[in-house]
Amino acid sequence: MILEVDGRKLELGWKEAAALIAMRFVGWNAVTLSDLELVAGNYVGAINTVTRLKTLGLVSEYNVQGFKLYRLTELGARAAEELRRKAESAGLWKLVEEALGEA
Amino acid sequence: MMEDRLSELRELAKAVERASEAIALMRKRAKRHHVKGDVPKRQRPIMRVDVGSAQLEITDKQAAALLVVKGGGGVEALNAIARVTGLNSKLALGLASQLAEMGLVELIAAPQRKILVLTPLGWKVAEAVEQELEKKA
Repeated sequence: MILEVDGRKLELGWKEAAALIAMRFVGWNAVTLSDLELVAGNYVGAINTVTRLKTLGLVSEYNVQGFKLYRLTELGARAAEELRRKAESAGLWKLVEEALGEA
Repeated sequence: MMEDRLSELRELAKAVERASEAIALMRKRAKRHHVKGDVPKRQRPIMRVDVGSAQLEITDKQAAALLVVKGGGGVEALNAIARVTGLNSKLALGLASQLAEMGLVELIAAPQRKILVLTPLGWKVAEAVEQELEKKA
């Protein structure tokens, strides 16, 4: 899908879009690779997804003591908000609200 | 054109569905790792650092934490702070939150792992702390 953020056109696959939504709305400001595996389905998918998001400048990586954490950049956060806007106008956002309410 | 729009909508629906499933699982998993931070009570002020027109009072534990993060190149794990300051994870998190409120670090936190990143102000204060301690040594 094509997302327009700050005058930039971003071409995202559904896994990348899902990762942005999960990272933005889960309720804390960083995720692990194991969290991203839940989004992408497996380890290789998570690596590919995060690599693409880093290349687009949507995610930052922090590597401390061999452990990696990923956080949305400002552009990434705005892209996630744009996805939310699109999902809301398509009547799809309720699923995320339900997920946030369940836990 | 209509087909493109439908295909984009299908992609968005798939993304929202997977993100929702992942969010529910991540939040469920996070409950096992939930720690609420408490600011350590026994902290001894050791110095004041000029920050613009104001002064920041820095305690022994804050100074130690800042030096550990600086030593890590500006990024360090919370458990390294706990190890150096002798605090448990709850108190180390409280100390990190206190430093974040002072604008000296950013706390980057996933439930399983937390790291501290020095802000530009944090660098300045950490350098001042280092110089002060070298003078005293």
